[in-house]
Amino acid sequence: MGAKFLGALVLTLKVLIYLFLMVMIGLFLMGIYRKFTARVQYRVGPPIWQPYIDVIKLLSKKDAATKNWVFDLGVIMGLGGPLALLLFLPLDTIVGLNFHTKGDLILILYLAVVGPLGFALAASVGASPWGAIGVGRALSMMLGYELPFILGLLAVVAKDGTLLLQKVSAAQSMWNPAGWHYFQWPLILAAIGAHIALQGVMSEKPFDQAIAPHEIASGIMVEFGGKYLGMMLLMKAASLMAELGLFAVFFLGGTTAWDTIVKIFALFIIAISFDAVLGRFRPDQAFTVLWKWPTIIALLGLLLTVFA
Amino acid sequence: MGMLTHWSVLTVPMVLVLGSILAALFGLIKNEKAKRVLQMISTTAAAAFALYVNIALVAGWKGVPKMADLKPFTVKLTETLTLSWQYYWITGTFAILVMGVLMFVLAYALETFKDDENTTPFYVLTPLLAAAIYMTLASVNLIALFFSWELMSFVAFLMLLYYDRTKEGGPWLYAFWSGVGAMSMIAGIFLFYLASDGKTGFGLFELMQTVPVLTIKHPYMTLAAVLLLGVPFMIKASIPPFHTWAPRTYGSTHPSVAAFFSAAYSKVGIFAMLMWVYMFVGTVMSGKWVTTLGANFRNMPTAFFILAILLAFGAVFTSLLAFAQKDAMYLLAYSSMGQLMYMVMALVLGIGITVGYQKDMNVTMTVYTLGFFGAIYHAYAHGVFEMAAYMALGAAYKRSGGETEFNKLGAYAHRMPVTFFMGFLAMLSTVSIPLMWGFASKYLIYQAALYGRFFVLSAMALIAGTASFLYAFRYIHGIWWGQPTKGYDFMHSVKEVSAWGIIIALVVMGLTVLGGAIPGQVLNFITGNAVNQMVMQSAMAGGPLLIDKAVYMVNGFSILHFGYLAILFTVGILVALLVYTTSGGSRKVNLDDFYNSAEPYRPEWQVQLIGAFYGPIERVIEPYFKVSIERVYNWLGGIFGWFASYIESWNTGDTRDYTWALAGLIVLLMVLWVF
Repeated sequence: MGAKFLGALVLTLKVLIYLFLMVMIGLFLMGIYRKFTARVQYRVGPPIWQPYIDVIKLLSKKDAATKNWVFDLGVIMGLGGPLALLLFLPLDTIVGLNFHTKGDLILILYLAVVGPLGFALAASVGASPWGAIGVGRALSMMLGYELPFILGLLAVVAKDGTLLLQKVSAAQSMWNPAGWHYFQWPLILAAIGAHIALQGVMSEKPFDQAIAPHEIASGIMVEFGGKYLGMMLLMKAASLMAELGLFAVFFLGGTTAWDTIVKIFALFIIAISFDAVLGRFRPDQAFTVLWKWPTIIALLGLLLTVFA
Repeated sequence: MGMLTHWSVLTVPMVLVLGSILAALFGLIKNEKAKRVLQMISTTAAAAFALYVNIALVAGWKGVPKMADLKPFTVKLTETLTLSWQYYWITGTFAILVMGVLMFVLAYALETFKDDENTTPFYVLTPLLAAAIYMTLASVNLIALFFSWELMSFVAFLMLLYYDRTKEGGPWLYAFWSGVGAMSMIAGIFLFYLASDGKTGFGLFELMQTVPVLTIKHPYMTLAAVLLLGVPFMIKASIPPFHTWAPRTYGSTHPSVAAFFSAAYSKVGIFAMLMWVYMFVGTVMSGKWVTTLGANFRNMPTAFFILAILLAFGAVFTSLLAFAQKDAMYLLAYSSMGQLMYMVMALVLGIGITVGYQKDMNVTMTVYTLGFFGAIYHAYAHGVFEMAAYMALGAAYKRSGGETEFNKLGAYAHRMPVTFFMGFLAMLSTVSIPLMWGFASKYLIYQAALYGRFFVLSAMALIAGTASFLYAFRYIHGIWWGQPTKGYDFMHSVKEVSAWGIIIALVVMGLTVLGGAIPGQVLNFITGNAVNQMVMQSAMAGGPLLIDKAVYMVNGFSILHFGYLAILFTVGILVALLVYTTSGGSRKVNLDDFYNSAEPYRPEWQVQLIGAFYGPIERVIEPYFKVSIERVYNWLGGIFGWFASYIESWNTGDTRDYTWALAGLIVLLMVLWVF
């Protein structure tokens, strides 16, 4: 009984440490983003640890406005979803967990929408038309980027014959790029298609229509303040790790947690480089672009893989 | 319970008819409230009894007869032709769903009918429709099926006609397509008769077995017979190109009627398609067609592959159409059509691969089991979430004075939190959020498609799933949240449903989660252990499939532990809750207190976003919807109309002209006869 209790305690601690670690790395990435973007635009920018300061400050504020308890529930669901998602990614091996062997790609794709849906609910409860416009845009974008992203991922499934993430990563080499799906023919096409879509998955320019501060007053975020905004930042940090981690495992041979984290950093730098220099599409333009070029490229990659 | 041994396949319909008769008698009561309550009790009790009997039969509970011991009902017409209705496990599997939906919809109707709406036709006709559906499910003879089918269609038409809310011709469109279906079915039956040289007894199982032989003898006639027979089934399951009646019919009626139609009645189409696909296999894999329609394309007969692609396209298109709707009833109607196409696609995949992919028996068995039972399980999931969505909408419909358009709804959740939650969970299930029934069922279909290596189909199915997020959110925002379009004063007068309605809503919510938390058990229960038997057979053949209590697994390919999912999902939520509770406080503000770019806000301004919710992408996809099957039908209708007008133009109004014409015709015939 004592040993069981101790085991459960250790497991709980491991889960908490893992989630804390992932969110902290995610916040660090967000810090890099702000600094990096500022330097590209000839500004000094905030310090890299600014997101940590922001989160602590926001979470400790005492007068955040809420509409009712469903607003709060939406925010809890919004953060809880990505945290649960992280537990099903192979990154969990960093603290010796192996929950990622209990689910597969389909589960991950559907768990990934729990967070955004929670925040969308909260934005809807918030009753601001800006929030509703933001949600409308976010979901429209989701429809846009999911197609090329899924086609890209399915090409890997076709090649490796599995939906299990551990098998997909085992089919690649850790550091030799020639052994990564990204640089194998014809998967490279699927990877490029999915990589363009990844920019939309992360809501980075030119696909950041859902936030668009100058157009729609930050859209979804408009009614969030204090701890709600703080939790939204945490959700963003967790989602970043999950989205980039999934891509790294599927295309860049993310084998262990450590090398996956390195690859997440590399992917993130590429993403924010484009974000720093590109403008924003109109929602209809973005949707058209996503369903055109990345989709065609990823579909070609999938078909060539299937018929190979 | 011993008495059940004396009962036959007619017991359930007779009890339903009794409930209906009682509802008609209660309709004579002057006191409106007493009338409604008594009608509800009589019909709901009949439905509950029907549900109990079916569950007991399928689950093989002690004290009830075995399924096979339930006496069939037969009518001997001629020496060779006997109409028969018999209960078998698939009857029970579908009947549980139909009776369950019937019970909930009838019980909840107290909350959805406005005070000025007459409930008697609803309470009288719905159990009758359920009885006709039951007879259809139990038909083991094509002629018996025809009679049951037409009875069902007629009762449904009466319901639609009475509750024609929008007067856009929905019932008549339904009647037209039912007529087309009836004629097509008769033509199919007639061709079967000809193909069998007048020797068929029209037994359904007999036909499924003899279709290959008939195809060898009369390939064209048998194929035509099978295709014609499929038309009414496809109409009922609203499969393109026979789907055009569905949105207007579902959209124009009362929410409670639509709930039963969409959640239960449409499943007859799925049931019939299930039988039909087997017949179709028999035709395309026999005689002349083996080398053409039956030739493999991507591990499936070409005909099946085309059908599956058509269905996947249909699912994507209807899902895209759903989110562009401005009326919640129409939105749910399109959503329903998309989900039905998922089910038929799974059936086509599962059954198609059994004849197409012969390289590996394990793969064949696995995909078959996943597709077949995925379709049945999704039929259940859809039944529950569509019913819940329509019921919640119905409650808002009553309180808003009969509104279903988004620009006249909004913010009802503030006054009706429990009802909102029913609708919300229904939508979570629709979009397949993990731990919801809709996820557990769609997962099986995705597994089938991916393990069978149909990747483009899978991608299309997944995108249809993504589009469902858009319409689900529109439903959530348009009805339940945002700003009240009827003003704040009106909202204060809105009340939550009664305690009775709340109990029903809670049970329905429980069901939505139950089917997603322990899917293996639920699926096995509703199919009378058929899944376990299939999986065991597969395992004995060395098959990699496992659908256990709470695990889905295709060894080496996919895995999903629902137990872990439940625990880890809870962990994620608990950690979020921990952050929430340990962080700073909050204060509640009014609904009209929101950020509006410093513009002075006036409560009378319309600030609910409703019109062009997905405007930008609606504009992008709009041109692709210019090619509409309905327009083709309208064009054809126009030609017929023109032809009819042309004939009408011959009318001179003088009888003597026709007499001369008739005389001329007789003379012409005589001349032809002489020479």
